Amino acid sequence: MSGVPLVFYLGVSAAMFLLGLLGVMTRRNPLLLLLAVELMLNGANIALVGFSRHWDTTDGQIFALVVMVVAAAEVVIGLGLVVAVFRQRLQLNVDDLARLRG
Amino acid sequence: MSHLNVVAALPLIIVAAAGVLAMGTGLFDSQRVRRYAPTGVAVAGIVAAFVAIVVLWGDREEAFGGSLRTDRFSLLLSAIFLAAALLVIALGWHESAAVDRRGEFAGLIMVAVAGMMLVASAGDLITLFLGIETLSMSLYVLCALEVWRERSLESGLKYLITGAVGSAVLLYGLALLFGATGALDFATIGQQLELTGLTADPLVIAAMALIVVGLAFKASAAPFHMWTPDVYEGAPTTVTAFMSTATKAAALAAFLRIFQGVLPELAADWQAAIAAIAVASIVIGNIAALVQTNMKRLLAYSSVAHAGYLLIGVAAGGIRGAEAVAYYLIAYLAMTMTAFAVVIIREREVENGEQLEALAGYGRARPVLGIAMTLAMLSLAGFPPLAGFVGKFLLFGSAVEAGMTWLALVGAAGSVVSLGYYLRVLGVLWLGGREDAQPARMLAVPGPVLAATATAALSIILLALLATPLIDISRGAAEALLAP
Amino acid sequence: MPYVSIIVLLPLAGALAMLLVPAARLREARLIALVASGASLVFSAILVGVFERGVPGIQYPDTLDWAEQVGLAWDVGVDGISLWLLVLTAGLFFLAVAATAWRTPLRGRAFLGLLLAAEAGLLGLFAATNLVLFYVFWEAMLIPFFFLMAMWGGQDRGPATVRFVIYTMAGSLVMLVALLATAFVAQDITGQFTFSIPELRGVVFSETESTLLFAGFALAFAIKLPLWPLHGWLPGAYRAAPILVTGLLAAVMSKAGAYGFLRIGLPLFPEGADNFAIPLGVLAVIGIIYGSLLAWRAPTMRMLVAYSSLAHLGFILLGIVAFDLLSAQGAVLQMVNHGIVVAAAFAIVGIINRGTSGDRIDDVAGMAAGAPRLAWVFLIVAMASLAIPGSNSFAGEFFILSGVFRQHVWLAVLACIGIVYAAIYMLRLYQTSMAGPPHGADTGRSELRAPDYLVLVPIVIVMFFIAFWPTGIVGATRASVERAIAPAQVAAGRDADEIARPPTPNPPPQAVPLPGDEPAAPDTPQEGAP
Repeated sequence: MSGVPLVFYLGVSAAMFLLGLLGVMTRRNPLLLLLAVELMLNGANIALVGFSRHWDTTDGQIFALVVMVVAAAEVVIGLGLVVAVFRQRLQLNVDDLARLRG
Repeated sequence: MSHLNVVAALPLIIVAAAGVLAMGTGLFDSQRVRRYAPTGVAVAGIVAAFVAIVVLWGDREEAFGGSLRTDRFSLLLSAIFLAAALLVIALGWHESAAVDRRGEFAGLIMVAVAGMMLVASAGDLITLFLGIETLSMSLYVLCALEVWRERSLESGLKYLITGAVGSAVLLYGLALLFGATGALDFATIGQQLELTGLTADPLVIAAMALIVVGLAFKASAAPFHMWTPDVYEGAPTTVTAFMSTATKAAALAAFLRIFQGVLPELAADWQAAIAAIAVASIVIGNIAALVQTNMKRLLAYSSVAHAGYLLIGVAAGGIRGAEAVAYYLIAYLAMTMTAFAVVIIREREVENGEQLEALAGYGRARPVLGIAMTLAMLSLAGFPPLAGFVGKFLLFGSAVEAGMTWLALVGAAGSVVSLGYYLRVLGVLWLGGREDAQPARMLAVPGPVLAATATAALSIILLALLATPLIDISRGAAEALLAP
Repeated sequence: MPYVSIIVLLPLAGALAMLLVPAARLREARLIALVASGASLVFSAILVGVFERGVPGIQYPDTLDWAEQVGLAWDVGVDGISLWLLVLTAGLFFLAVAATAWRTPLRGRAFLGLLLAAEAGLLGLFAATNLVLFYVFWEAMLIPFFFLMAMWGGQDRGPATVRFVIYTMAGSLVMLVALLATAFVAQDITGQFTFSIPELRGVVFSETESTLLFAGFALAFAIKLPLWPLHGWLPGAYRAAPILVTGLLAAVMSKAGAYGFLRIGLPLFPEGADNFAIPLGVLAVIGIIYGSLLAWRAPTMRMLVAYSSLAHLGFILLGIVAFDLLSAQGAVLQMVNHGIVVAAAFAIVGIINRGTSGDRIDDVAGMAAGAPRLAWVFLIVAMASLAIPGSNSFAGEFFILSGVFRQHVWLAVLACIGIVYAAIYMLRLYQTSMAGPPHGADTGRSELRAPDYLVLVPIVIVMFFIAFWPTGIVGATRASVERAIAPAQVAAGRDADEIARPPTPNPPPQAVPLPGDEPAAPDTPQEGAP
C-alpha cells in the first residue's frame, strides 16, 4: 500500500487525543472543555481512519462517520446546557460552578 | 451475509419507538394528553418489550448482520433495564421534573433504556459505542431536566463533560482494538486474538487499558468516580436512582461483553487491572461514604463501592463470575431503588429531604417505609438472608474459585466498613429525633410511588428466597455470554 | 416429624405474625409471642424425649434446597451438643418473652417481634448443619439484637451497638470467605461441591489449608465468644442494652462462638485446631483471669456479671481446645449451666435495680433485711455462679478442669486462679448488696413478686436438677462430643485409647483418584510437622 504510513496517522491521532486530554484537565471554560473533548473524539477518528486504510477495509471509516454524528449530538447537548446555565448566570467559569462541593 | 432479522431486535425497536412516541405525546396542547399519554406510552412500551423478551428467550439470534446479538445475556440485562425504567417512571409520578416535563422524562428514560439494550446486545464495536453514547446523552439531558434549578443544570453539564471524556477514552481504546485486529465485530476480533496470540502486542494492551478506563468512568468505579457524588446530588432524584441502577448495569454489561465475551484469551492481562479498580472502588467508595450527611451523596459513594463488588465478578471471570454479576445486578437494582424511593418520598415532603437528618425518626412514624429502607440498607450491607447477601456470596465465591481469595477478603473488609454508614442511616431512621415528636410534615404517598417502593422492597426478600430460578437464569445468561 | 425445623421456624412465624397485628393490639401480640416461643419450647422438650442417646451423628435432619446450584440449602438437624443448646435457647427465650409480656416496654409489639426473631436466629444457628445456613443465622441474628439494643437501650447505645455489629461483622465476613474457600478447596479434594458439615467431615486438607481455614472461622467465633483480646464490643454492648437483652446476649448468644468451635472448627479443620489449640488455650486462660479481675473491680452489678461471664466463657473454650472427652463434655454442660446461671444473675440484677436509683454496687447495702426472699434466691445463684461443690456449675467446671489437667497441667493450674477470683467477686457482690445495715435501696420494690418467681423458679429448679443429676445432660452428649473432638485428637497425636471414634477420611483412601491427582497424594508427608 502506498501513501502515508500508518505510524503518521497514529502520531497525529495520539497528539490530538493527548492535546484534548490536556485541554480537559487544564481549561475551566465549559466551551473550551467541549472543544477539547471534540479534539479527543476526532483524534480517535483519525486513528480509526488510519487503521481502516491499514487493514484495507471500510469498517473503520464507517465507525468514524458514526462517531462524527455522535460528537455533533454531544456538542448540541453541551451547548444547550451551557446556554441554559448562561441564562441563569452570566459567568461562565467551571470553578464558579461549585454549588455542589466536589 | 446474514439478513436483518428484525424479530430478534424487537425489544429494542419497541423501546426506541415508545421513547420517541412518548416524547411526541408530551408536545400536545391538551393538558390531559400531556399528563397521562407519555407515561402510558412508556409503560405500554415496557410491558410490550417484556413480552418480547419472554418470547425471544432462548438461543442466540443475530440481527442487522451480526451487529446485534439477542441472547439470554442481552435479554436478561434488557429486563433489568426495563424494570429499572418502570420503577423510576412510577417513582417519578409526582416529582416536579417528571410532572412538568413528563414527555421528556418518560421519553428520555426510554431512549436511555434503548441505548442500554444496545450495549448489552452489542455484536460489534460500533453498536457498543453507539449504545453507550445513546444512554449517556439521554442521561445528560435527564440530569439537567429541572432547568430552573441551577444544581440540576450544573449536574448535567458536569456529567456531560466527564462522560464525554470517558466516551472519548473508550473510543480510542476501541479504535486501537480495531487497529490491532482489523475487525469491528466481536466474533472476528476474538478469533483474531485467539489465532495470532497477540497477547503481548502493545496495541492490544493499550486498547485494553483505555477500554477499562473508559468503562470505569461509566460504571463510576474508582479512581474515575469523581463526578459521581456531584452529579448524583444535583440530578433529580428519580434520575439519580435510574443512573445508579440501570447505567451501572449497562456499564457492567459492557465490561462483561468486552472482557469475558471477546477477550477471554487475554484474561491474565485485564484481570489484574480490573481487580485493582475493584479494590480501589471498594476502598474509596466505602470510606468516603462514611462521612456523608446527604443521602444522595451517601448512596452515590455506596454505588461506587458496589461497582467495586461487581467488578470482583468481572475480574474473577468464567461462568461463575458472569453469573454472579448478573444476579448481583438484579439484587442491586431492588435494594438501591428501594433506598432512593424512600428518599424521593421524603424529598417531596420537606425542603431538605435528601439530607440524612430529614429521615430522623421516620421509621417510627412510617413503619412501612422504615422497614423498606431497613431492608435496603441491610441488603446493601450484605446481611443474610437478603438478596444482597446471596449476591455477595456468589461474587465472593467466584473470586475464591478463580484463586483470588484476597479479592474476596477485600470485599469482605469493605462490607464491614460499609456497615458504618448503612447502620448510621438505620440509627437515624429509627432512633433519630425526639422520641415523642413526629417528623416534620408528612404527605400521603401517591399510589404508583408506594407500589414501586413496596415492589422493590419485597423483591429484596423474594430475590433471595427464590434464588434458585434466578441463579438458573443468570447462569443461562453467563453461558450465552461466554459462548463463542 | 420435622421437629428441628418446627422448633426453628415457630418463633420466626411468630415474629412475622407480629407484622400483621395492629400496633394498638398489644394483647394479641403478647399472646402470639407466648404461643410461638412456648410451642417452640414444647417441641424442644419433645425432642429431648425422642432424641436417641448414644447415636453420634445428626438426628432428625431436614433438608430443603434453597439455591442448590451454589450449594445453599436448608439443612438442619440435632445432635447431642446442639440438643441442649436448643433447649437452653428455647427455654430462656420463653422466659424472656414471658417477662416482657408481663411488663411490656414502649412499642411492645416490635420488642416482642424482635425477641422472637432473635430466638429464631439462635435456634437456627444451633440447628444448622450446613455452613452457609450456619452463616445466615449467625448474621441474621445480629439484626434483631441490633434493634433491641439500639431502640430500647440505655445511655450511649448508639456507639455501643454500632461497635457490637462492626466487631461481629468483621469476624463473620472473614468467616464467609473462609467457608467459601472451604467448599472450593474440598471440591478439589473430594470432587464434590458442598457446604454440608457432615459431608465435609474428614476431608483431608493440607496443613496450611487447614490452618488458614480454621483461623478464618476461629476469628469469628472468638469475637462472638468473646475471647480476650477481642472483647472490645462487650462492655459497651452489655452496658447499653436493656437488661433483658444483656441477659440473653450473655446467656445464649455467647454460646454461639463456643458452639462454632465444637461444630465446625474441631471436626472440619483438625490440624488447624491443633496448631491453634495452645494459643487459644492461653488466650482463654488470660480471659479467665482478666475477666475475673475486671469483675472484681466492676463498678456496677451488671458489669460484674458481664465480666464474670467473660471468665466463664474462657473456661468453656479451654474445655473445648483441650481435645479431651471429659473436658469437652464439661464444656457442653457448662454452656448450659452458664446460660442458666447468668440469665438468673441478670434477672436478679434487674430486680435489684428496680428499687435502686443506679446500678452501682457501692450504693446499695443490706437488702436482705427488707427483701429476704430475694436474698435467698440470690444466694443460690451466687453459689452456682462461683461453682461451689454441689452446685450445677461445679460439675461442669470440675469436668473441664480434670480434662485439662490430663492434657495441659499448667493451663489448668492457671485457670484455677479464676475460680478463686470468682469466689471473691461474687461474695463481694452478695455481701455488699445483701448484708449489713440497709442503705440505698427501696427493698419493697426489689422484693420478689409473682412475675419474678415466674422467671426465677424454673431457673432455680433446673439448676438443682442439673446439680443433682449432671449425667442427665452429659450422658446424651457423649457420643456426639466423642465424634466432634476425635479428628482433632488424631491431629494432636493423642493415644489411641483416648480416641473413641476415629474419623473416616473423606474421600475414602480406596476411592478412585480424581483426574489429575498424583496417586501418592495421601501419603505425602506433612511439611513442617515434627
